[in-house]
Amino acid sequence: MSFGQQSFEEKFKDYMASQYVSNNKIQEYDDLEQLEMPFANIVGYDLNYIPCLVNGVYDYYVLDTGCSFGIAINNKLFKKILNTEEVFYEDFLGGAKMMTAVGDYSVVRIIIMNEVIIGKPSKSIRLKNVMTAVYDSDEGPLLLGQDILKRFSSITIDNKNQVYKFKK
Amino acid sequence: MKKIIALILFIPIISIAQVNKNNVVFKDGVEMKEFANTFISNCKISAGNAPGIEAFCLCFLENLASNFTAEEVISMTGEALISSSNKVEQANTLWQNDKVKLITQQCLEENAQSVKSLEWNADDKMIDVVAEQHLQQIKAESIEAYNEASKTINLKPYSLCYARKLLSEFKIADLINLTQKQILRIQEIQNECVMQNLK
Repeated sequence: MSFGQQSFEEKFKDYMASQYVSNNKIQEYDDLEQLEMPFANIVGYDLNYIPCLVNGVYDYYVLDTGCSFGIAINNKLFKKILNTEEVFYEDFLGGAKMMTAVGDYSVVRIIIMNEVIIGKPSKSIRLKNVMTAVYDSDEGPLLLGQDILKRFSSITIDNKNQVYKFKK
Repeated sequence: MKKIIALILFIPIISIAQVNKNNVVFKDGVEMKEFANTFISNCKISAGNAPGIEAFCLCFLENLASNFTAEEVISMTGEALISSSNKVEQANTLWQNDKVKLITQQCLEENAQSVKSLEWNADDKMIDVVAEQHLQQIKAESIEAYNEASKTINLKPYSLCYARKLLSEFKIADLINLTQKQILRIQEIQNECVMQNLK
């Protein structure tokens, strides 16, 4: 693997995205019993992230039980996902009002993402038809919320071993 | 205290292999050609080619390979690199992984002599990172105690005061094997900084 310095982040994420296909180790949800996902640390000290591949675009999400959607993404990422040409007109459900963590309301666009793979390439689960909120900001955090979390019987945050455990 | 040294020493490993000769076999059996040489070479350069540092670099690489899969190493280093443009902060991101911390400490202990000649350049960024690590250590011991302390102490300036003094008074060699006198001095530094930052 060799990266130039320019847009390293983009190249790194593209490289990680390519590994899902080449590794061919994505578990189907129907076959899943339990999957352990190591915490990913990318910013700051107190936040742990979960890597996800959303319609072919790799990025890092914060597990957020207060997010009612499967994932909530910003405009910047959504534009990138649109470029994959995997989102169609019929996937767009319309707009909705969403209450933010501070009690304000924000208008979001609701999309059904055909495929969300959570975890790193060698340890990941494929989920289909994930309810996605696209909020009007280019820089906000990416969230992984209830529409995904409720698909599992339990999710354990194992701080000691620095892993999330998703059990079907 | 070794954690601080570990951070400084850890900076060299953050580089993506480009041209190498030797292979590394990771935990999952994946062989990465041309990895070891560049890794060791970058490690040595970043440590200023200190005498004997190669043993530490080798120890680190061996342990990394036996504890992680190739994908884990690639993703961890990539995530560290995208976390910041500053090398100390990148190292710190990587160092949030407990296994990485353990490996670093283990290799430091095994190679105490070879890291003695190293020196650090305590710039503002390093002071920030060491200060934040200090707060994280306090929090890791007890979040309750941390929150209680925050009622009476301005913790952020306290930690900066502590890091600044620690880095200016101690060398890496000192921190590998602290004497009783040095331990007392560190406690004094903590007390001084607490007193200076009471609310």
